[in-house]
Amino acid sequence: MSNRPRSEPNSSITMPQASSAVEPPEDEPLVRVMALHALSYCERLFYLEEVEEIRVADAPVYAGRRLHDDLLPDDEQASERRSWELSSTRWGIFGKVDAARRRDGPWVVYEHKRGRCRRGPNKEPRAWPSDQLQAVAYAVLLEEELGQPVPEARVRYHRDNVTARVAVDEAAREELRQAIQRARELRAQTTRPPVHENERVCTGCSLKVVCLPEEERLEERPHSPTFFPANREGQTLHVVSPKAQVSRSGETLVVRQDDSQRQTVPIRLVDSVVVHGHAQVTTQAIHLCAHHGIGVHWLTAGGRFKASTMNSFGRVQQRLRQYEALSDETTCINLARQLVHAKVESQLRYILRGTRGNESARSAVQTDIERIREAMRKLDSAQSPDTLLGLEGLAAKSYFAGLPQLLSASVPSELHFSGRTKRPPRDRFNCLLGFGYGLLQSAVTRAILAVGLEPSLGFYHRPRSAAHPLVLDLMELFRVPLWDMPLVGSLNRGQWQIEDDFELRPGHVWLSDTGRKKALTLFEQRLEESAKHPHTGQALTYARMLELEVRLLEKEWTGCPGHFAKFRLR
Amino acid sequence: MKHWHLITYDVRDPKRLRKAAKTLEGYGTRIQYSVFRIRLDANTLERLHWELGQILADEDDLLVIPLCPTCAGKVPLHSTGDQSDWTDRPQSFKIV
Ligand code: SF4
Repeated sequence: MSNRPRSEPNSSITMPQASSAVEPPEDEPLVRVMALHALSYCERLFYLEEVEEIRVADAPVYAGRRLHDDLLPDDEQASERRSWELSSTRWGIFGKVDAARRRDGPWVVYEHKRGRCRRGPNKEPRAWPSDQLQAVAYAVLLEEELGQPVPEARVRYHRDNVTARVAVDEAAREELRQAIQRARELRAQTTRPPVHENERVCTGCSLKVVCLPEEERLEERPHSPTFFPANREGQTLHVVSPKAQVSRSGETLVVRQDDSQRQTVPIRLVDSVVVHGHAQVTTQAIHLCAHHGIGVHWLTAGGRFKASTMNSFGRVQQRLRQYEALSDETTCINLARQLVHAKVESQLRYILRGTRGNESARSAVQTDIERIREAMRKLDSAQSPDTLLGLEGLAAKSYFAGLPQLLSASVPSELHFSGRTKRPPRDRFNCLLGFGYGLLQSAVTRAILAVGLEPSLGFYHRPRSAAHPLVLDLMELFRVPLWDMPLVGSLNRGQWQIEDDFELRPGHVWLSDTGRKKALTLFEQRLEESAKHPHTGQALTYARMLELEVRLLEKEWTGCPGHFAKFRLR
Repeated sequence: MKHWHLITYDVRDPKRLRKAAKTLEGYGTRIQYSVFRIRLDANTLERLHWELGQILADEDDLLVIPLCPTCAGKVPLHSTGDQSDWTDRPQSFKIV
């Protein structure tokens, strides 16, 4: 088709009739031409972008935009229009034409692409199907705008510097009609279309990190490539000092502590801001963060989670599916059972591992181990959230009863503990425990907001004020690996100073400034450590694993269940 | 993969100059008057390019020098002042 001789200007060409377009109903919103491009690439991509409004502008997208800004060489003879916004209610589409030119003959639409073209049997350049569809759509838009036929479109591929010609003939129009029709159908449906059958298509897809196609292919093809990044991108900025103020200067955040110290942080390097205690954040700084999709989270000085900014417009389909799934009691109880099982098993494994090879410790925790095992056995038949809560509580009690045995003899008695006291923490150990769980809570909240789920609707914890049930649910998976383990480890390494790191008040214990910084560093370093996730077999940092578990949870109700809460300590 | 990049520019108009500098400040640190040091991956570089493309005019110049880890590691050897952090991977968190 691309070898087709150039259409001669021909006055006898008649304008296509209005009836050839798929006239949409009155108030049906128009379809973006770029969305048709996505549709032809992968239906799921179209759905994620257009219906769920999830967009990740990544390199190819930006490069595309840059090309669009590259101007065509000027040519006195030709008339030319660039960046022409057009829409047609008859076709039901709208979009921006890169460029249209006319030289002696009819107008020709130009579309610019960064990549390489497709090759025909004789190596002649051809447009890829999705590019072709897009070019034809622009051609019919232009046709309607000008009231003259536009018989040809051209796609310029910058990588190999060639132009592919696309005929805007009846076959192409029919294809366009069908694509528009399909777009409307997809817009009306509430389930995500399946992943593309060709995994190579996903490699070039901008949404692969959100779509996680490898999860769904895993069953059939255990070795399909994984796209989930192993590491987090940006830096978490913790503002601890009570006198600090975070403000904005241009594209940077400025943190001032008293008058002398001032630090600037480039906004692109930040992935979230966590404010501990009473530091101030200016409205301008909050706006800047919101603009870049960076969450700001406020914790009390004692580590209790207070509030978060969220910036998740749209995402309606995603939320509707969550509401629907989590309104179903059977779904909830099944998820809750898996969750509690994962938590209790991690407690058991940690106690077993921590007392391995130490006979006196092991015999001291033997009854606790038995009790945890028993709770675990009963979990499988638990049919109500209350039963689960009861069993979880029993296991937790035995776990915390056994945990002191994991502290080495060198740990001073001031850092020991006997039983969990939450609010307020009555000893140093509980103070550390509570502070770390607060950090975990804010990390889980960040992950949930990043994925776009509604944190207020969980499947296990009951709604209560001051905490999001879904956050509390997901935290259960990570308490042991993300905080109990590094904490006990740090105590055994003698990292804590019983005087300097704590502030003792009547009836409760706080962390001092230095203690708080130590705890933060410990937690953040743990987030950077990697473990193998059973599901993909890939080593991921814990920071990433938090987000992966949220995505796997969502997959429980988006057609790919059975992968949530499978991570176990080794 | 993130790498260090040196980014320097020559902008003929004060308004564009300010804008370009402001954009770059959002990505990394200014180490000399119009020289920035930025650690980024290919995707982010594309985005930065695009943003600068919106600001700069034809008569302006932009020079981007990517540094491989080996080259970046040699920077402290040849420079004055404390340049030790060219070799480090920046931390994933910051406490202030
Ligand atoms: S990652 Fe693959 S399946 Fe998912 S939207 Fe992209 S192309 Fe489609």
